[in-house]
Amino acid sequence: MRTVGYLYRRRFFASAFAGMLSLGYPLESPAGQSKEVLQELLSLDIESLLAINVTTVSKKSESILLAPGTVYVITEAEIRRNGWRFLQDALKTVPSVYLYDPQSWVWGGQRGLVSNFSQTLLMINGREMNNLIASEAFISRQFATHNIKRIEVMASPGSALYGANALAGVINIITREMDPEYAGLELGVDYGSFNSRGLSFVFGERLGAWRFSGSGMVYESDEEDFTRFVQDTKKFSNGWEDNNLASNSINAYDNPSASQPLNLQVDYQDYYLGVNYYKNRQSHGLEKLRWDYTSGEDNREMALFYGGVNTPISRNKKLKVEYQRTRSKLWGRYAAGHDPGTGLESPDNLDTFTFASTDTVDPNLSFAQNLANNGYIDPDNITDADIRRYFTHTYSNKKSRGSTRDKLEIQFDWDISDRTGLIVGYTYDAIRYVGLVMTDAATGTGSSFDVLVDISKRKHSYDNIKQGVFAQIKSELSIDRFWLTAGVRADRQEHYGASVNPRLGLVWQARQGSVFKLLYGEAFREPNVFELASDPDVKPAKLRSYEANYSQTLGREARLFLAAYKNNVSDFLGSVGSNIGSGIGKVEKQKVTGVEFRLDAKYRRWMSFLSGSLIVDGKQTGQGQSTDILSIPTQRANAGVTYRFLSRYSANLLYRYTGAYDALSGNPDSTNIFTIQSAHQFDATLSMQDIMFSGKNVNGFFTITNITDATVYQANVRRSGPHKFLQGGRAAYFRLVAKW
Amino acid sequence: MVKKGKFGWWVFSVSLIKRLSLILMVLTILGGLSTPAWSQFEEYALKAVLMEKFTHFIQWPNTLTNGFKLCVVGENPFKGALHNLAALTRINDEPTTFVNIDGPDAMPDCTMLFIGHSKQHSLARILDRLHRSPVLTVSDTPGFARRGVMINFVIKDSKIHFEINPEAAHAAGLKISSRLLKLATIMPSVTGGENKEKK
Repeated sequence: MRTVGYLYRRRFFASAFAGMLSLGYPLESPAGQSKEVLQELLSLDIESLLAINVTTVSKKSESILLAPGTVYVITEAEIRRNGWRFLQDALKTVPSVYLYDPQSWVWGGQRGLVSNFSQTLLMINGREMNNLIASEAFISRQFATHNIKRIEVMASPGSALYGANALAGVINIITREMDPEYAGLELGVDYGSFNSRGLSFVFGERLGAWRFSGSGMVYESDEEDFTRFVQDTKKFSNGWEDNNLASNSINAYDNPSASQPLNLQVDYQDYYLGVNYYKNRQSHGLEKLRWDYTSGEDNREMALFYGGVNTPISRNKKLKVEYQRTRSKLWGRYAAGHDPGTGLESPDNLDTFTFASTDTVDPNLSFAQNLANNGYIDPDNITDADIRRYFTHTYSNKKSRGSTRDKLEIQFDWDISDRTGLIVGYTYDAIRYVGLVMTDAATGTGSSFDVLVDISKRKHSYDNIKQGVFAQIKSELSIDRFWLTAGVRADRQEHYGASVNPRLGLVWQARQGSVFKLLYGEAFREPNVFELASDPDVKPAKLRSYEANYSQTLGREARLFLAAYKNNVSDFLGSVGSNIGSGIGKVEKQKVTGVEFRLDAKYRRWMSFLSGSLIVDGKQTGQGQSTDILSIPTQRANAGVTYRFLSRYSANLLYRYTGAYDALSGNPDSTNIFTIQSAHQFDATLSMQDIMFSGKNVNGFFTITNITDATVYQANVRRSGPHKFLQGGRAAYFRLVAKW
Repeated sequence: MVKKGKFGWWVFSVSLIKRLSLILMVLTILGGLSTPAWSQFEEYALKAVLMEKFTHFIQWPNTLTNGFKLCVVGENPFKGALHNLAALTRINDEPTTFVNIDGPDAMPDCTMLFIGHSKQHSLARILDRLHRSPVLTVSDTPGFARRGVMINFVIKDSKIHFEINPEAAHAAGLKISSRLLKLATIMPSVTGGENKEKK
């Protein structure tokens, strides 16, 4: 049966196509004199030039300078020069990105929209890798840089193309083996402080019409020891001094990590099949204030299987059809005494437990031992009923199949003329969430922050079906050197109805090396399972973003980039430092105004950059209150200088500055506002490129991070218990990669 | 922002369809009035920068005493890209000038010479004129590498590749790094009979 929607869809396409068919463009010679684009290209090495593609902003190749958004690109060469081992290392100098590192997985976001990184869409080669249950851009040790060719960080809202979760932008990792021209085998070894060690590989091989490629790594580390810090009740557990659990029980700290990322793809002509997989295990780092700080464990496993075809259907039209199947699960424990792998199957409800006032609790003993000493359990015969009753501070869906997502994506690219391109697409998502069991109530500390989830949700009791259509057109206007990009995406979500998110970009490539951009975009993020559990009526967050950019060539080999933005969010979902109400989920509106800059310059063998960000104004309103945003550094700057010598070596010094800022105590029951002092950090790196050794091409770096061993603190932006977080001290790492 | 309703396509309301149609119609009409081509522009900007990158892997027999002279003979598809490249950077760490060559006499003074497609019928004469001069010749016309041009751009799968004729470079006294050769398709000169291409 044909519906009203069908008729309107016909009219929509008919009107669009009629307009396009009326175009009769003469093929004229290009302007071709953009110094900005030339400078941008000159900064790349020859391999990058031969494989050049920028895909994030418009889901197709285009120049960053003329793209209708702010995109910061981190190249493979930059990664090597700076000795960055993991994705988060590289993101730390991106002006739009705010990272908080509790030494487990990083929190943060972009442009003042920070929380558990669920506001930013994380992708590998254009495929979404946010975990399913919390929509988090989960970044721990599973995104090592050994296989990264380029990182594209889009700071502008991305929902007009990518739908939910791209509220604060997109991080897209482009891996090296995905370059069709990459051929060979690379083996790498990492080693460094805290017994950190890793083995990695990247390969690509073409056999006729077939191509096989992949990359992977096995990484383990003891990670840095923060025992002294967690024992410091003034700095770590400030506000908990009168709590025996906090002040007397944290005697040790242990935070080992292990990760095994693996990417494989097989191509046959225009068809492809592949998988992006990782398994990541770590403790909780400094994340939570717990009375057992040595037995915490957090496991994540994710596999994204995909297959599709990406084929030209005529000289100027291309069609991509892809199916994805994602599995995502997590399990772990916050406290000792329980195997997180224990399979609990749908108990009727979630029980919590606290010791009676007449019990004798020895904080030096484990939770299980205290239970046994007080006669609650028989330690030699712990039953499932005991586990349900007493150990629900373990969370797990390990025994389940995990949450799953089936996704169909269809995209049609049409270069209508040499100056007008159209993208239209459709996506279908069916997500089956498997809940997890989690409560902190049994430990007695930090309990008010965490959310209880019905234990029955270990089975997939919560489904979410989404559909989206998107269209974007980019056209050069009749006014010389003006490009206008307009896009809109409409998403229909089972639980929240429809959300329409447009974006508009006007780019003017002025003469004398100037590019101006005016950008407007809207975006949204759905509540995740945790947020739904705490408030069934919670609404999606909605962003309206206004932005102006300016890029200017300076002299022969320098370029300046400036951006100013204003982000207005309603129903913000996050736990950014707020003293409105009790914190999480209470922010009704958030407004952030800021500026960003980056200056790059080259002179003979010297390269340098200076970048930074400034939040000019940040306000939150809710429950009739209005307050300044807390816990976000409002002034940050980075500077780097590189000297190339002996043609294939470079020495690099990186400086990172964070200005002092006010933060809300990480203790969720505290309203204490304190100042986090300004921080200065220096990293030094020696790197080499394309050294021939025994017939193999050898690359590598040796880096010393925080060479002055500066003491740097960060706010506990999620208010998970600890007052604030200490950042890593001096450490040294190296990586060597040989290519056959 | 959010409308509650039963799941189905009809929830994409009339106003949304109108908005989409309007945006697309306005843009396509505006596009119809516009002028230059940005896709072609980017191709030649990329080729221009690749030409600069080639120089990092090539050794000229003599020290360049008059700076680096970047020349084009025949139709210049780069428009302003090579000119701007010369203004932006010191190729081979030398002061760089860009010249559109009119006649054959100036060609041996060039350090790098791009031979345009329009010269396909006079290529042999150009190469004869350059005989053994240390001039790096570049083109983007199919078959030019086999005919003696040292580096020839080709496009495959929407990406730029290049062919190298090492014999031609060797004859001119230019040394090409093995790293650059690895990235290229090696093309032997036509010496009569069938030539086989090897990678």
